[in-house]
Amino acid sequence: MAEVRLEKVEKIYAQDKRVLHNLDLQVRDGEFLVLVGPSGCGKSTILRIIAGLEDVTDGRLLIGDRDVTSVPPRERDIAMVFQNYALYPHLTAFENMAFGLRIRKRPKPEIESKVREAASLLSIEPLLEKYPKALSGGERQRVALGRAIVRDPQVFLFDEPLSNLDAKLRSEMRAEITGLHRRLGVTTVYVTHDQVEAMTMGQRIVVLNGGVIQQIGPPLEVYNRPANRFVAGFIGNPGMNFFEQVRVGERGMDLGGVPVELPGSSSIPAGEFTLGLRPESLSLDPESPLRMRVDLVEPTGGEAFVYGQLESENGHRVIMKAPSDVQAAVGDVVGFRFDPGKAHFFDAVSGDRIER
Amino acid sequence: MTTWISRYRVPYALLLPTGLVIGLVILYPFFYNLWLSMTNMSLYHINDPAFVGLRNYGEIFKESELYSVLGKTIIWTVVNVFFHVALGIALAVLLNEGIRGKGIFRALLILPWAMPQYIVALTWRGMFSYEYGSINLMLTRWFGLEAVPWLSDAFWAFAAATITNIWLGFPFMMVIALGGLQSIPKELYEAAEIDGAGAWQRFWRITLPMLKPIMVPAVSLGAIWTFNNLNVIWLVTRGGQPADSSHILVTYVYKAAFTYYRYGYAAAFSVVIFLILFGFIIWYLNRTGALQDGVAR
Repeated sequence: MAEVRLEKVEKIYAQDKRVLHNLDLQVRDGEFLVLVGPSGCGKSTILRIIAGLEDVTDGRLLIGDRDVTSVPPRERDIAMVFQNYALYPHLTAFENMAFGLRIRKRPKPEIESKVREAASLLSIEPLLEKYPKALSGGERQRVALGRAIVRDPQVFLFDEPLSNLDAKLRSEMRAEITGLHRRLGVTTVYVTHDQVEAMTMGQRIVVLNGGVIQQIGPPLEVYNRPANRFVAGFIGNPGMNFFEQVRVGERGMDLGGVPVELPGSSSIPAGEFTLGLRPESLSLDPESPLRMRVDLVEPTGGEAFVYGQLESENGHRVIMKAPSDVQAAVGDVVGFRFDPGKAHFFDAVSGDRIER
Repeated sequence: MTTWISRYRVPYALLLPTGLVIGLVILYPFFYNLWLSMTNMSLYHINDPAFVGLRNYGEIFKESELYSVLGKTIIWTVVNVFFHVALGIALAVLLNEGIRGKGIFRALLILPWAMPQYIVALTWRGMFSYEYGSINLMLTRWFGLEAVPWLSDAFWAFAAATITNIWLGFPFMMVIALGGLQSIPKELYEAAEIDGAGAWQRFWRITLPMLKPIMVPAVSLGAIWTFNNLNVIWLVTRGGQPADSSHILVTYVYKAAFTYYRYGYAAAFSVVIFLILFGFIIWYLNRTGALQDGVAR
């Protein structure tokens, strides 16, 4: 086990395509860190740099206290689980898991016992003699996990390992992987574009956009106090409601012509901001002067999402998370209110969070 | 009966041309050859061949010639196919890397395949000439070596034919291997690299086993072609010279039939060759598991 540190890492591909810019990142010893962001944000590049499959244009990479910037992957003592599993199709599950140990010329009894041990940890003993072709997606993923575990590496790297699985299996494997991490305590870097995976699995999550770290923190902190508008919009499903050019004055703010009182607004300087509201901080209120026209009601079983437009000159889109028995139909104009204490404010230009 | 005919009339009508062609060019000659092999047809009995049973076969197995020619044929086939596959895979691996001018190299390397064997064999024969051939000129002038009696010594004549045929045959294996290489997912190499495999280990443990399913049928085809390759030996060594010492089975049979006009004997010999090849292919395909569905992968 070891911590992983990227120091001032720069990655520029050919044609001056800069993927990472001056990136500093520290993965703590034994931590489960999730890198999350839209495609092209550089999260996979970071993982591949840690693995040694990509080299850095500039900067340093340390695993433990060792500078491994120019050390080949096989000497970095890491294990990686790939999105497409990357199992060796010509080898049985057992041999797939044993591959790294055989390459390292470990004694036969040790290989045997390590593979069996990992297999029992993952409950795949009956599959050991099968070829990858005969395994289901979930079973292949377990074998790939097993291949990583038997190596006893200092760092686990996961590259979107669940995105090829169906929804039910995905949630099972989420729990399984975090469970494995708890038992083995190995430093883990996990890349995903799925913010549900990020929220549920990470001890800390790193939100990336355009090769720049937007925020690092525990999932709930990122959710409750997003550092900027990008993070606020990326984390959370459905996404946060944004209202542009909301004027904040001494007594409160003006939302589409409706004055709203703001507790603690004194700490917010007067001016025009972007207001952010989570769908769950909105609720129906027939008395409220804030009104929206309903476009769509999406019941999901336990709750319902109500999509609509603000009844005002600029017609902002509004999404509300409501109880499943919500009394709203398409075309209705309904009143709603929100908890002003849970309002987020962002700088209209830079998008940075305004602390209250 | 009538319903059966009317029901399948169209499919059978469509199959008829193919069936006719197969019958005319494969089945009829095959059975004609079987019959011929049990007659004494030769230049003396061209119009009145008589049935002689298995006499031709007895003669073949009594002749010591069969075993030495068979031995040479096996050496010929093994050496050729080995170099075809080894060179083919090696060049395919190089071409599959991101080298500069890849397209030009690929075109140049496929060239031998695109040339008629006849032209190639005669050109190489010219190059193997003792006095004027470019190969001996290079060996003596550039490297200061002795001139090699390429075409007048039994061993060197056989070597000359082998070199010619290796040159002709590697592009096929290269193209097949290149196709196979391109279908190996990149992540497998990355996974192996992280698992600790160096370049050699990745080649032996990933590339070769992953190429196997595609190379097994290619090797069996290559073995048959090489085993039965009349042109190269015949043209380079001018009919098995010196003194009929550089024959393989097919050139031997060809000479028996068309130089000595021993048709019955040659036919019987052909049947023996067929049985040897047939046995080999069945054994090879069974051994490599190519006939069993899905085991090779």
